[in-house]
Amino acid sequence: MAQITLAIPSKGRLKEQCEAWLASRGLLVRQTGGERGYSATLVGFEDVQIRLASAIEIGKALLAGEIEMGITGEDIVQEAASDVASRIRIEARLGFGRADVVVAVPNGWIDVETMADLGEVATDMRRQTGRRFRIATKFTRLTAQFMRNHHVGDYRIIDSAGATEGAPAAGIAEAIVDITTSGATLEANALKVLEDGLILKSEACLMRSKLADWNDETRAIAAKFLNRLALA
Amino acid sequence: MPLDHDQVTQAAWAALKARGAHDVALPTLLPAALVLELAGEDLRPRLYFASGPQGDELCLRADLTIPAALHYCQIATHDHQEVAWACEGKVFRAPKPGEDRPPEFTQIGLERFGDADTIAADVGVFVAAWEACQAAGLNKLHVRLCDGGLLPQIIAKAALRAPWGEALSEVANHASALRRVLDQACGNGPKREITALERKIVELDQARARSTVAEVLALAQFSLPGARQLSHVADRLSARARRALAPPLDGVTAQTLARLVAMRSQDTLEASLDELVALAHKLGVDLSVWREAWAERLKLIRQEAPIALDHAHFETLSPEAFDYYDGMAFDFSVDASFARPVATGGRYDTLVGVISGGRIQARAVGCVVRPARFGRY
Repeated sequence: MAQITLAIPSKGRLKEQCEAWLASRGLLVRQTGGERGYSATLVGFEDVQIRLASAIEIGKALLAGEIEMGITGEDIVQEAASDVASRIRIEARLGFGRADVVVAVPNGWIDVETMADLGEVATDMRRQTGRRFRIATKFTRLTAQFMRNHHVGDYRIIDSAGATEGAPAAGIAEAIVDITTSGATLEANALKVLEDGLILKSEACLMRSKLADWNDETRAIAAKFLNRLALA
Repeated sequence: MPLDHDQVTQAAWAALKARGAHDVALPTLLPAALVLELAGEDLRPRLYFASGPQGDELCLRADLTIPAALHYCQIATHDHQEVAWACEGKVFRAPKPGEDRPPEFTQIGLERFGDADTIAADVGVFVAAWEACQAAGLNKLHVRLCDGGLLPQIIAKAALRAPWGEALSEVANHASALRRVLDQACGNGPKREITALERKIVELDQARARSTVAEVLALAQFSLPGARQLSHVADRLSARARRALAPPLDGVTAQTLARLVAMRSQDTLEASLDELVALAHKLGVDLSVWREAWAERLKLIRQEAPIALDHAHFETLSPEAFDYYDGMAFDFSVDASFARPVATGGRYDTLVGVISGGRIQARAVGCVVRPARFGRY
């Protein structure tokens, strides 16, 4: 029997929200192998196989065409590849997992409100110190593209695996690019978002991989699935 | 019988070495932070990264100039120690999306450090690159010449009205920043309202302006972590307000600066030099010494490579120039677009000082020749 694979986050709040979103459309996720198992079924919809994986792994699998469908954050796929539109189609924005990817600087930089200001400060810093302005982030690709679009050249990315918002206070970087939902964490770390510093307004999305091995049967299953979700 | 690609590369390599340079083996693995610091983040998507046993982040070299300058910093015992190196080897750059080429390819180059006679060294490197291309059978090349030190020199000496003289001087060797400030100076930039704080501190001397900003930050309980200090914030607020309040430069000065920045010769090279001298003169700057130096370069190039400048033009700002080129720079291209130059070179007198953290200084000029762009043979 033909099946398609739908990957959903394997743990945390995003998993709960995905399951709740599917349940609200009458589709119940039942994990096989218990709570710690990594596969599941959709009750009453056997031709959709559920795979539980990390949000990053789901993004990679969608971009590589290893799975037909998946739910993950838009920021994750946009960061992972430059040609997302040719590899993935967003079927639905799900209204949860919201996170803005933003440029933030210390709140004491009262002379910096815009990306143009940031570009000037970066140039000043390189002229005065001989070194480039440092931006801590895990979003290296999105940051580089955004800086290029805003003609900011004199900067360098410091790869940050976590606690990025602490980088300026720790002296690791002058500014950061990170995700924020309410802005409270940035504020608690004495940072402010630049007026035009919104790089991406992200949320959890149901995505279809354009590179998956689609055939008439799997396309029909996907159409039926989307129809059931009232998305067709 | 036509030469194959390896034979062509060898012919070009032999021509470069004939300019009296010694072979040198350059490092392949480089500290990634140094490469990104020097070349900028636009290079990151092209780099191949590796981790060292201590967790240090390394990358494969993406050109030969940075490894040559790094090697020089390691072996030089005193400032301006003279060496001339012929460099040959693989460099590693990931293709851009849609670009059909292998990620590793051979480059050859000549790097000269410490030469006291900078004009002779400039000409020697230019002619070496030219002869390498000729040896490879590239006889009809377009040549683009420019001078990374020209605009900073003119702007520093020009009698420009405050605050524009200082503002332009500060960015004179940053092409994009220079264009941005020049737009403001000419009244073409976006208008912005200045804040009450800016209006207040623009009337104060530097010390009082800084203490006012310190009070504001303390009252707001804002913090200033890292390298940027109170003085930087206060001084920039003042400078930004002065620029916002200042009338633009007069029409003639603005037009002259705009023409200088956008200058691309349409006539002979000598006519371009004359035009630049005349434009600088309008700003009160005497470029006669600069012109003599360029006239000497052109004369020596024609003596050694009579047809090299037949299809040459001059631009004040090279769109592709290496960030550290601060003097003569050149590109050779098989067509007039200069989209994929077969050779590129220039003077980079500050690079050794930057890499060595000021421990060693050295005048330097070099070129790279790209056999991978020679075409099919």
